[in-house]
Amino acid sequence: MEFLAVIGQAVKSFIDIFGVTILVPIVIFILSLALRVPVKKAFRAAIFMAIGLTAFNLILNTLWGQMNTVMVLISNNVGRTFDVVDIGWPAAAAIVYSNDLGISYFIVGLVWNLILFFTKVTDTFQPTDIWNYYYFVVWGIMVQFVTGSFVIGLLACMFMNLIVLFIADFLAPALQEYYGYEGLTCTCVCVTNIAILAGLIRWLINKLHIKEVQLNPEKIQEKLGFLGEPAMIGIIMGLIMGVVAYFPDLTNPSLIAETLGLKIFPFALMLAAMLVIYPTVSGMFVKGLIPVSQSLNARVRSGKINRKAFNIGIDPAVYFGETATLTTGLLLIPILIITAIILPGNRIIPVADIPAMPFMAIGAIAVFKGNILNATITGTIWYSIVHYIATDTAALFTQMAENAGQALPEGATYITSWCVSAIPPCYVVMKAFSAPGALKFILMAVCVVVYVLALWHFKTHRKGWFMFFGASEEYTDQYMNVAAQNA
Amino acid sequence: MARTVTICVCCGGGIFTTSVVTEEIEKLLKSKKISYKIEPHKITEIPNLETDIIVATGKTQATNKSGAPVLIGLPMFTGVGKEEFSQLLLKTIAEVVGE
Repeated sequence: MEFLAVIGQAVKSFIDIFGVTILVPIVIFILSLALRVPVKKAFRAAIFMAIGLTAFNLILNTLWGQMNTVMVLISNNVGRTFDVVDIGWPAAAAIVYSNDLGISYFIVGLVWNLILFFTKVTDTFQPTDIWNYYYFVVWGIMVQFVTGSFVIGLLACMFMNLIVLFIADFLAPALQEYYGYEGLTCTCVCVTNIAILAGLIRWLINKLHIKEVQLNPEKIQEKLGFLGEPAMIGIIMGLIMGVVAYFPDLTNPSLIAETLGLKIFPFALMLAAMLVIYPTVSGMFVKGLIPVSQSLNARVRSGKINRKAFNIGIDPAVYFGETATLTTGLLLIPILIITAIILPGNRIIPVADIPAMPFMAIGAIAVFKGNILNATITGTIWYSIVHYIATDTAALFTQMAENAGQALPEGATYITSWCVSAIPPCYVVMKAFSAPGALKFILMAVCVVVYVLALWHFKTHRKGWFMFFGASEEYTDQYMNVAAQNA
Repeated sequence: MARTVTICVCCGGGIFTTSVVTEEIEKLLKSKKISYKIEPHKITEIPNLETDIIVATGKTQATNKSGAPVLIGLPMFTGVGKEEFSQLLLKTIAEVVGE
């Protein structure tokens, strides 16, 4: 414990003196070298990481500055507070890579993953998906912020990592059977955790003998396909938000032309531009981590590891293009915007994370074997809850972004990432680990006990768990046979 | 000398798997001395792309309106079946670029 705190302090002092844009590339460089990535490649990776952080800060300033103005006007006009700006998941990545705990977790997490893998706590080899650590690490950083303790924050990260691997383990057969990628599972927790609710709903459907309805994905895709393009989402959302924000000016005939030309259109174009540029910027972060991921991937597949029945964690991008997944995502876009507007007390409207919506369907689609209607209903329930989580954590998230050195404009609004908020299990753990006083230690113990019991039940009733989460009996038998042969 | 071949690599977010697969394809094409242009895109953009060949990193049923072939490039990411995919890609390039 002492030792961890010392590391945290050292990293923090370094950040205070030199700034993150130097520390991050150094950590990535050393980590890459330690994993035997060639020097030239490691250096390139490190530089891209720093460029990514710099580029992101530039974009964020513009985006939030403009969104700030518009969201305040919208709130005034509709008579309800919408003061949480969804600036997208790259924001969470940037926070994690600018934070002492976030950077330390690259190394601690890697070692933790390897320990869990080789002690067979998990069957999932996660380090290949190191890029998606930040989804749960950002929640651990929230704990660090509330408690002021690096160590408790780190423990929260490690505990959330256990949950991530647990979900990856029990969902693996369903993912493999439906999507057809043997030996792979998904460790990007924001897209898999919906499986928890999907499993329950599937169980209920079977119990009540409800007849399943199949929707035709081709028709839906034809009608809503344009919603999948970031440029189109940007323009449409930008125009709608602009009109609502500047509505009073539009009712004044002498101001219409000026408002449209100088305020609404530029805002819509700015939003579209941001959504189009975002992937490029995040691509920089990714370039920094690819050598590490690929080096581990090559080694774990080299056959030298004496264990055949295991799954490799992979980025959810490979599941995205499947028809039912894409269609469910497209359906969820308008639905979740509407629930955000209708639900009382909610203060966020998803904007920058909208293009990521098909990702969010993956966990449910795997469980329902491609049933779009069931997945859409599950998504509507689960992700409407997420609106409230995003609203609740926005102040904390904003504080973290400011602390991460992002020069944010003064304003009456908060920022968050809708996708990163979409992990209710992490929200619960975050609340438990950052409870006031000694209560947190009791709740931490409760979390650990619940996890250990669930894991024990899973290990002793694997077949039941796999089938509960959507795998067929034949596939489960086949999947477990392979595991048994190697045991 | 054949003309330059244009390849679009597509994944969900146009980021992670795209970057890896792009790097692998570049390595292959450089070693074969094939002149190429390669761009990252999103899977949702596949129908409207103007390109010679499309490589999607994951499985997809999407087709291109202009008739560019859509290959599944997951092997380039995981390394399993990489040799077969490389052969397929080279064959497709030869067909597209032609004589």
